[in-house]
Amino acid sequence: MDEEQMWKGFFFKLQELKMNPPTEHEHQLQDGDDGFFEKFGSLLRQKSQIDEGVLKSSLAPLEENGSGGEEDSDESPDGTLQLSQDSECTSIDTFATESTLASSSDKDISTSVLDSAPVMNVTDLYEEILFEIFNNIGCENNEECTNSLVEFVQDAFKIPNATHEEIYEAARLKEPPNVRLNVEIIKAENLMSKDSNGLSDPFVTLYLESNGSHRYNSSVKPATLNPIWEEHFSLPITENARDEVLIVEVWDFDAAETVKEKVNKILDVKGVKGLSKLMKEIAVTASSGKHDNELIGRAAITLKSIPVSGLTVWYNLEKGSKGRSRGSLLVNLALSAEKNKSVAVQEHKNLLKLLLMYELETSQVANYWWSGKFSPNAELIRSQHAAQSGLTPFDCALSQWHAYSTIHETHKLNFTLFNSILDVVVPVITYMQNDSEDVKTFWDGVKRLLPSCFAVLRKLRSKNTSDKNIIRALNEVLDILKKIKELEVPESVDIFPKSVYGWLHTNDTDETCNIDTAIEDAINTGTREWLEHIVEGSRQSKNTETDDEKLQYVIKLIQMVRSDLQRAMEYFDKIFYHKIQLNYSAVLYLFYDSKLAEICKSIIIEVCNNIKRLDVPDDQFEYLPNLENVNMGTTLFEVYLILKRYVQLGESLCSEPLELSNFYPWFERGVTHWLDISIIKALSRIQKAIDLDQLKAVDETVKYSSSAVDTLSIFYQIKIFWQQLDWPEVEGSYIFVAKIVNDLCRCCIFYAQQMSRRVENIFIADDNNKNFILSEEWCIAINNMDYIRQSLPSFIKELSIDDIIKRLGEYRTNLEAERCASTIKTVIENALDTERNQIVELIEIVARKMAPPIRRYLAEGAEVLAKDSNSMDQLMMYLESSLATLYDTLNEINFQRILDGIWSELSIIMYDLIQSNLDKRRPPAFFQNLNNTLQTMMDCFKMGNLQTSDIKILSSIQSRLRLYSLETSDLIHQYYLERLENQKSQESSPYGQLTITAQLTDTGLLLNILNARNLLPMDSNGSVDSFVKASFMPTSRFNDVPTVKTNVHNKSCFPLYDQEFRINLSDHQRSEKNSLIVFSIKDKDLFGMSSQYIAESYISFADLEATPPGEQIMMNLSRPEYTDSESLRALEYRLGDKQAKDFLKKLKNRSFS
Amino acid sequence: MRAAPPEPEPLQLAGSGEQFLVLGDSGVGKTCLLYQYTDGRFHTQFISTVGIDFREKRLLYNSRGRRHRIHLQIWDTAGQERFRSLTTAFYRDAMGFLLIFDLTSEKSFLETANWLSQLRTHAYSEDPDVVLCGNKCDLLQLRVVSRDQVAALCRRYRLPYIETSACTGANVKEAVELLVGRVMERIENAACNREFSLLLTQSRCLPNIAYGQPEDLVRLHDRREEPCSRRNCRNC
Repeated sequence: MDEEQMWKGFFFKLQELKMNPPTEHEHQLQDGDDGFFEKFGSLLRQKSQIDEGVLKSSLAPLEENGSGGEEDSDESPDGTLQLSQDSECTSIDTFATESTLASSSDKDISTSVLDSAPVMNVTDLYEEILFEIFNNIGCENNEECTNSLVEFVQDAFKIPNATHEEIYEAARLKEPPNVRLNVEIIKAENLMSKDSNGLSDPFVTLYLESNGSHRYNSSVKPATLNPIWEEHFSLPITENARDEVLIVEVWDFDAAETVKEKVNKILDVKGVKGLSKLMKEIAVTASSGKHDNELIGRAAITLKSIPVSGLTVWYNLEKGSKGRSRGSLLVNLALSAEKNKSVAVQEHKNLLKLLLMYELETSQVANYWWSGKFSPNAELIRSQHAAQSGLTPFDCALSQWHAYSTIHETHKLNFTLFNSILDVVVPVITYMQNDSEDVKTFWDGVKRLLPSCFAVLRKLRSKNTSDKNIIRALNEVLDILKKIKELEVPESVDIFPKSVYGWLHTNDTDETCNIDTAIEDAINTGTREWLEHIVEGSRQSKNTETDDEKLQYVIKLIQMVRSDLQRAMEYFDKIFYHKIQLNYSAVLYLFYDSKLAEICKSIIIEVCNNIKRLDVPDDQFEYLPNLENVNMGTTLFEVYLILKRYVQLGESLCSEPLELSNFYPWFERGVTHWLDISIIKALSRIQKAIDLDQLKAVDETVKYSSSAVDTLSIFYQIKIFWQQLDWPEVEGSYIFVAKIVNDLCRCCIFYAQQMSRRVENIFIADDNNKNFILSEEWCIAINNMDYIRQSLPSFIKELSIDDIIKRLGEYRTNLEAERCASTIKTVIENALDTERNQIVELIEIVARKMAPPIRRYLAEGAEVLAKDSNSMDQLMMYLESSLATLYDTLNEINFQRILDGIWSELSIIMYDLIQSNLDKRRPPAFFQNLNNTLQTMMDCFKMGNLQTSDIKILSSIQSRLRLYSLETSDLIHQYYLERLENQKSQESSPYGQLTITAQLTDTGLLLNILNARNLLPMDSNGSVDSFVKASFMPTSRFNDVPTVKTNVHNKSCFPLYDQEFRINLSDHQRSEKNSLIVFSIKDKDLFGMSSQYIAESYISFADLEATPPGEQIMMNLSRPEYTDSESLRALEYRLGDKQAKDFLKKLKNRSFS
Repeated sequence: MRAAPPEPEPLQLAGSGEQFLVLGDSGVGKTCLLYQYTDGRFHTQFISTVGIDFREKRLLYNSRGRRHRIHLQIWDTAGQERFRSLTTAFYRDAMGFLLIFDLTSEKSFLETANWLSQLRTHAYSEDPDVVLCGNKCDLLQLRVVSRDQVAALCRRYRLPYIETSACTGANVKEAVELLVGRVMERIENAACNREFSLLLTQSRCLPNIAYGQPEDLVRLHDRREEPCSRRNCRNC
């Protein structure tokens, strides 16, 4: 299984672990450290994801925002939940708590409201209203209606009956009003032609039928049959208005023209008819010398058909009884009473206030609900007053603006109402002079209305506010502010007095305040009030607050701020931007930014400074300290993550630099602390995982057990922590990741160490047995260590180290980045090397524990000369079962390693066995059996897989075994073979050379000893009396072959023997290629008693066959050495063998002579 | 033929070996000193260390008739102010500290008190093993810190002091070995307690086995030449 596949398998298992609920094993594992890594890793990440989901909620109120004195919501008549005022107004808020007005309170307020009326009081106004009811104008007037109106007015004005009777009579006796008829002549269409040019020059004359002498004339519209006048006239009516009739006549204007002028108009004549008319006019003018306007048509209009609200209607023009159409006239008619304008406006304002207060009282309307609709009676009275006073729509709207804004100060009205009024008022106000009374009235109303508008902005977070109502109110308020903003505020008007707007930021500076800055200040003030509220609500007693509680407070604070921003983005941003192009959530965020930075920084730095120093364990890891601050660490990291997400939100909202962007340095000590905790917790977790490990493969497809999976789970959690940390600064990022890498490496080494100890204990348990029984636990342990080791590099790669190094290169230089990369690589390689050594160490322990039974089997097997012993079978069974276990449970790499280990141990065993049994003078059969066993085991261990170094050792051992396996005669022969090789390798010899010819024939050997040269003198006189003796080796093979000898040649170092010998050899003797002929050259003494050995040489039968027939063979002479032969050493161990003993004795004589 | 009497088995400390940490002001020669120690080379070009760096060296340490094989890992820290709060993460892992100042810079010498205060706060104990090094001792003409000044500081804080030159290599090895000696002495004193003694006994049975072809040969050769040592090991 290669590393990548192993890693993938591990990843899938992690996925399964994540999908499945934690098992009992996992619970046991997490009990030790209270699930430390899960808290910082996946659990914290899941919590973050849930938190993100929670933020996307409706406008439901925040539970933490609860407050005492909360008002219950009211149901409107149609069942809709009403907008409810937040009762948490601050002291600087001018709003009083809303409550139902008592009767006496109403009277007081009424008096107060009307104090500013300089002309009349309630009684006078009441009389005027009664008078107007009695003198109703318009079609609505009837007796029944009059009575109901009188009753209504008495209730509205709260007049006692006695007072009412007096005022009633006074009003009835009052003179009728001077009613005026207001006429607007708008236009005419399709008039009859009266001129020779086919057109007319129309103008209008209008008068009352009862006063025909008083006529009003419009201007002349020349040369048109469709004139547009749009002219206004006001006709006084002295008689009863109901009986009057208005006469409207349309005339064709003709100026005094001379005959000459009329004649000149011939060119303008249109048609035959036109020419006829012109000719007639010329005749008349010529005869009379006068001009006369000509009537086109007339309309008579009865005034009783005109309603009080006015009438615009087309009238057909008539003349006499002729039926032909003369055209149509469009007229606007309205009735009004003649009254002082300013007095009328003042009356209207007061009337509106009284009617509205009565309306609010009788209908029990909720706050922010009334939107301008009076009851029918109230509306009728209001419209009668407007008509009889001659008020314009602007006058009415301005009066409403004044009256409603006044009432609005005590009882909030629907902002839609004010928005509608502004639509009427603003276009007119724009063109008025700033010093006019109307402008002043308007801005006074603005000053009264604005506080409640800004209060809406400040109270967007009111509790129990339904989505629909708050959004509607915001829309209307922003519309109002937008319209007011477009107007230029007169210099004399201070719309932001300090007494009302203490919360305005510009009050503290010399900056000019306007609607825009006030809007931002209102938003910020509301935000500050809400922030202060949640700060006080979230914070506990400061004296007993723990660090964890402080951090929890920060978390809650940021979460609530985050919720506020979320609501702003979801519901309010598009409204603000669409209405007034304001980025509302950005304003909020900028405000929160400085405030939160101030609060969070002090708390976080304080908590980090309070972190207690840990007792970090030494490298033995024997005493792991108990930690009690893990929750503090978790909470601190939660704060970090929340701040990180909060800053990310801000960077998408605002383009300005944010104070909170530099939040991460506050946590440096916290991160350092967490890294310290994590190494300790990781080591504890690893120890616990190993203790709980049953050393069984986690499933059939892999060969590692639970502790390996658990350890990688720890690494996985650390990786998640690092990914979530996402440290923004690249240099700090590198330092932290280097620390994490170092800690992971230490964990790997610790794991290998503890796993070794675990299985060593298992071995101790097995030590009672005679044989070391190889258990699966050992193999699983080795696999675990190797699995962790192989997983480390690819796991570390997922820490984004390459990305950090790349960013570091961009931030500084590539050279420095490469050094950083080299540093991390070195740390990793160190850990891998150390862990590999530990794996090899454990493998060697296994091999070493297997050594005693192998040694015993080998010794027993070699001991018995006969081959019926079962020791060999037992050895092979032991090896096969052990290797089978190893093969099944170890992974491929480790199996190969343990083969190497066992083989190395085996080499040592064989070496020791050979050495110890040499001392015991074992017979050659012992070593022969040992050699056979070695061959068998080499096959078993698959020789080809062994490393080169072992091959050399093996060759040495094999060579030794083969040597000691030989019989003594074979061993002696081996000695001579070594001598032969040595002779061939010599270039020259101090003892001289011997020349022969030899040839193998069908019957034997034909040997001719020719000569010798440069023989070394042995006598003091410097001469040699030599002869050559030839014998055959091995002697056991050539028992029946006699030794041949040459004649003695006296006093010559260059003897010429030239002597031929025919030696009979059997077929068997001739066929052995490694047979040798040994030539000994001796010096004969004068007395012939003994011969002195000079030197000798050798030749093999193989060499003879390789030599062409008749060719001379020259051989170097040599004397035997004693100490340089393994064969001699082997022979020395056979001192019990007579043959070996005699040979060695003889050899010594030759060597030392 | 008898083998020579075997030398004592090397004492191998289990775990990740000894970790040391080098600290001091920027530019005093921390990185150059480490390079001289581990590689025997001096880089004339000044490259500021980014945060943290790592060097390693394996050495033999003789003490009380025993030979210890030590795998020394040395963290090299950046001296700039902005790295100080970050590199404290590595203080707790270190068993000993080399505190380096520049003999040609009085400011770096005066800063040693602050570094010692940092160590007292962040190291694994309030009394860590520290060796004070006055570096650049080869620049005699530029020297501004007198031996008397250093002696006073060493007496006050009870620090061993050694003057080094990363350029010439003077006393570089001695400085590290001085620190190794003090740390090992502390460990051996702690070995008086029972658990550590047992651990030392166990570690005898676990000789450090290097992995690789040449050392395999060496190991096998050693085993062949030292059969008594192996027997002793098995008898443990």
